[in-house]
Amino acid sequence: MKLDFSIPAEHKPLVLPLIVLLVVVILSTTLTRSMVTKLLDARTAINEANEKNIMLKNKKEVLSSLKQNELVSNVNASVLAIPDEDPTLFGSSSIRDLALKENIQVKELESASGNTNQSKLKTVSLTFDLQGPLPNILSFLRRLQKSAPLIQISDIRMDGSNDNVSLKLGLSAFWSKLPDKLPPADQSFENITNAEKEVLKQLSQLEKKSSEALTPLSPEGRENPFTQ
Amino acid sequence: MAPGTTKTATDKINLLTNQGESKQKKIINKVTRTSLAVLFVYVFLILVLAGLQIFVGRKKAEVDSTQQALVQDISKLGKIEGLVQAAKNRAGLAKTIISDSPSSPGKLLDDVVTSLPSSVSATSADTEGGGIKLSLKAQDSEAVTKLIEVLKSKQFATVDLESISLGTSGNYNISLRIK
Repeated sequence: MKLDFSIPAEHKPLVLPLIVLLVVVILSTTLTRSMVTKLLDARTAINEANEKNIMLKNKKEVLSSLKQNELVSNVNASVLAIPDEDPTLFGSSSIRDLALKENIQVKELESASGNTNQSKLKTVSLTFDLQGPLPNILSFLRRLQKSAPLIQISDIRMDGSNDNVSLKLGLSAFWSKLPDKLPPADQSFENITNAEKEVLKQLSQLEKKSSEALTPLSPEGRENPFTQ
Repeated sequence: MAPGTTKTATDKINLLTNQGESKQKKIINKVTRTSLAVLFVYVFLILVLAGLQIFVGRKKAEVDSTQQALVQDISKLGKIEGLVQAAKNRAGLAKTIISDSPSSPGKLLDDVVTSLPSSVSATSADTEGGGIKLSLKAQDSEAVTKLIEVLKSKQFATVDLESISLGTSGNYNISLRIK
């Protein structure tokens, strides 16, 4: 039996409108739909990229307006206040230097590394035995709290009369590694806030050791080791 | 059968058929024209969409190239950004240290000892629970009175008199806890 697919003559005029309808429906569900979706996605992407460009432009403007020298001096002062390596040596040297300025004798020094709850901030405990007149000891304590590196006095034990006071001083000095990675260039930028500027100002006002090199001790004992 | 009668009837039928056919043809023509018009409009719309896509694609490329240029410029300012990051890092840590610091025992000791009357001297001091325990020696009862007046004027959080005793040499030994 042969199948007859021929269209009856009375239905033939409807073929074209039906084909048009079919083409419109097929194109609407495939090509047009994907085109509209792509167009909308591209518009969203352009809007997002424009917003990002505005942010990047602001970042560039702010970074260009900052004074490098000012930043370097702020960072130097803040790194002296909170060093990026164990401050035992630097802290002891600074405290010894301060004690010498106040005519106080440093009798003993002990150090022990500790830690704080914040993993980034590490602490070092320093204990000093000092001896000197009371006014000098008080002046030393005053200056110590305004000196770099930043320290906290945790313990004070003082004995003696006005002219000869012995002081056992427990201190905590802090240190932390500097950030070693820059955030991605296309990430938003936060400038130094006013509160941070205030803290940096306080850090830059801390009294610094007169010389950053360690003061060598004067030689003791025999001048010539080959003689008796 | 009268030929006239038959003709009239057939004519009527034929006339009706012709009218119906022409009406149907008209409708079909209208539908065909409308569908062709719809097709043209639709194709036009697709062309507009294609044009828009090209325009938007160019715009996106333009915005992307601006972004790349900005990122490159910012990368050149990396040193300054690094300094800002370091300064912010240190300021944050310093703020934590300063805010975590209880009232400094050094400052408290300095405050108390420097305000002592001349007839009273400190013999020992020891930090204790955020405050200090202080042993004092007063020359006489008048010195003790002066000391109490000084301590009142200083507005410490708490001042506890732990002990006061009269020594053999006539001096008063005083023990205080101050916060």
